[in-house]
Amino acid sequence: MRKFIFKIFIFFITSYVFIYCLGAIFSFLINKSGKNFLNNADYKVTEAIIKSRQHKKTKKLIIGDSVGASLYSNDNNENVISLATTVALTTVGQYCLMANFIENNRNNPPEEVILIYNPICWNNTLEGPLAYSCFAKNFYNDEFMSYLDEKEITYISKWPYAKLLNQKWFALSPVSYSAIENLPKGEYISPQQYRYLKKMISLCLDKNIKFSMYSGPVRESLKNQIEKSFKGKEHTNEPIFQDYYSSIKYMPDSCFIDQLHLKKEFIPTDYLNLY
Amino acid sequence: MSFTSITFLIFFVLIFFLYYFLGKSKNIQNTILLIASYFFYGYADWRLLPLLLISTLIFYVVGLGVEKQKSISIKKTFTGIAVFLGVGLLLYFKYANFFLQSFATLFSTFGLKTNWETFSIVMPLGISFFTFKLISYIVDIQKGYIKPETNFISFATYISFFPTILSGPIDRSCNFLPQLNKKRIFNYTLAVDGCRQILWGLFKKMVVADGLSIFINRDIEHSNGSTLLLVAIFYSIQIYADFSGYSDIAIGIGKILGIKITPNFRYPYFSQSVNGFWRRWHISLLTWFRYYLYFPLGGSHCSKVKCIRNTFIVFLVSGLWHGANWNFILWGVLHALFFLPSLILENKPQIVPFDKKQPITLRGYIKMFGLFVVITFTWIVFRMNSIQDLLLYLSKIFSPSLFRLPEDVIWALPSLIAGFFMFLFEWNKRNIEYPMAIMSKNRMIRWSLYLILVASIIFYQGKQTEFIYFNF
Repeated sequence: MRKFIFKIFIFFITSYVFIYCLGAIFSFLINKSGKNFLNNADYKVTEAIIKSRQHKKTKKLIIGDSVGASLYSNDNNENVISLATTVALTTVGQYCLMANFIENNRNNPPEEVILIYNPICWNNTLEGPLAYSCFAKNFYNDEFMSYLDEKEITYISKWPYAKLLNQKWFALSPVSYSAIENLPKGEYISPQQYRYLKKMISLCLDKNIKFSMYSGPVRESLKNQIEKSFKGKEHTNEPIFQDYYSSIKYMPDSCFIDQLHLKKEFIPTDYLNLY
Repeated sequence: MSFTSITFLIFFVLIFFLYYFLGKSKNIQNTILLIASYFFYGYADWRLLPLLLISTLIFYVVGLGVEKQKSISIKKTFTGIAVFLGVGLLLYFKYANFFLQSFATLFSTFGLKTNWETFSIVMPLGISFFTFKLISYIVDIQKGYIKPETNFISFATYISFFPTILSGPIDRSCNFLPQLNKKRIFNYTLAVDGCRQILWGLFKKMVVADGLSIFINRDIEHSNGSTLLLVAIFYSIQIYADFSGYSDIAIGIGKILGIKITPNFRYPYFSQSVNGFWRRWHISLLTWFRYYLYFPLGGSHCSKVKCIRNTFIVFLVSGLWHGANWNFILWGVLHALFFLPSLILENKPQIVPFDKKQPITLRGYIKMFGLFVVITFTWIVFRMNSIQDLLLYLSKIFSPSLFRLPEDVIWALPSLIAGFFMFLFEWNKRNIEYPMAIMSKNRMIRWSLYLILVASIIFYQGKQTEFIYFNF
């Protein structure tokens, strides 16, 4: 029995050391190549983070959800860099990406930051699906902690395996956890997302960068729901939201593959004429 | 509490220490196992515990009653009542709504309206598995194969044994109960073997099966023919990796606890006929059907027509066992049809295990490929939720979009590589229980393989999904 327990102990220790080293090697290779070859759902976030570290002069910086990512997938354009990834990051993650890019390019900041966000995604919070794998495992670490408010740091510190989040092997593994599976219902704009939107605007003001906010194309059938939820709600009468609301472009439902995403053949090649 | 969760790991480590350090006698060991099993079962839904306990209690009492009777006819009556009760449990919890809906549909086709309402029934987890154990126990007593278990704790442990209660293997009481009737002393070799089998099972489940699920779980409506064809092929791999992975983990846990559980799989996709496939796929279920349905019906020792009838009945019931859905029935019928040639030509299935020394001819490989195609087709039928979905699926496959490039295959690539490795490794070791049962004597090679499997599980596991057979 002792021999067995000893061997199992050795097995776990050896496995941990091996996994730890492998995590460091994978992390190095991913950072070097800019491509996440691992089987995790958040590979696009990893790639966006790598892009946010690069020193590159650009006119326009795109951040936003997966619809935004599909609209601006051309990485070889000098005028536009897209860090748009997924709605699961909420504006908290969008802010982190944006702030990191601006920090890494403080001598050559972009002229404009454009947030592309679907109108039905504003009530999302960090409790939403994929927040653990997409947000916590990528942003709850030394690199991004300074961009987060105390409230978010305390909140994530209570999540399962929070102490492992800063370890590369764990962040690269597909281990996940969902606080809740459905988007919360309630305010049109969650206070958390609003707070970080304000932080984005304020940072851009500080750095003398223009900040704009647009919606990606939206299913026609959602028009009533969006109009109903948008009108008369707190914050929605602010100019930035009024401009955002008027930017919503509705397209027939048949153009969409699901609730949010356009079929490949209907994705506009230059949605806001940025290229 | 899934076998793949950290919660289960903590639970099992705790049970392991209690079992061997506090288990000074077989009774204490069995009591620990029983409490652990009821905790494990109740963890999913504690409201289901009374059903398990009461049905165990009834069958325990009936078992003792059957043994005491001297008259064979009374024994048979007692057994009949118990079997009726067991089947009744299944019928109520699993099939009541299916039959109500089917009859209502049938009546409506004749213009008759019914106001039957379906029940809101929660199907108890593992009911198909523990009910079959209960039935086989009573029948074995009536036939005189075994003596009834007088110790309730041992009997209840056999029925509820936590590694097997949710998805089998369905061990027969004559294999299992004698093991509970002696104290289990820790066996280092068996425990290490169990750990290896668990690791292999985890790899199959978490890397291959869960990894492929990302690609497989897609909307039929929005997928092209070639993608759906790949989905069908990948599902064949997924269901094997998922279910045999589960069985490996369950058997491995049993070995660590000093209990040998009947193997459930013997590399079914390496068979060369449907007949051979069914001797290697879900062995414990087919063994159950053979003993408690096929043989009582006359088995193969009767006229050819009756033999064919018996085979059809077994496969029909086997299909229905998987769930209350016409797709499962159709799946069973299809297997019976594919079984027919070997019945008519009286082909004997290959003898297990595979003889590695005997080279496989080109014809053998072609047969293996043909079997995979046939089985894959039956899995399409098995997987769909309704006949309408099945027709849609098939019409999508056999459409011009079959010649378009498949979508999103990149998502399945790591799991496919892992699946290829799984089959290659199993093919190489096809003459032993599971590929890691006999390992290289070189420690370096052995440990390298362990570490590769652990690393694959950590970095390439798919989104954790429930074991497919939990639904049955």
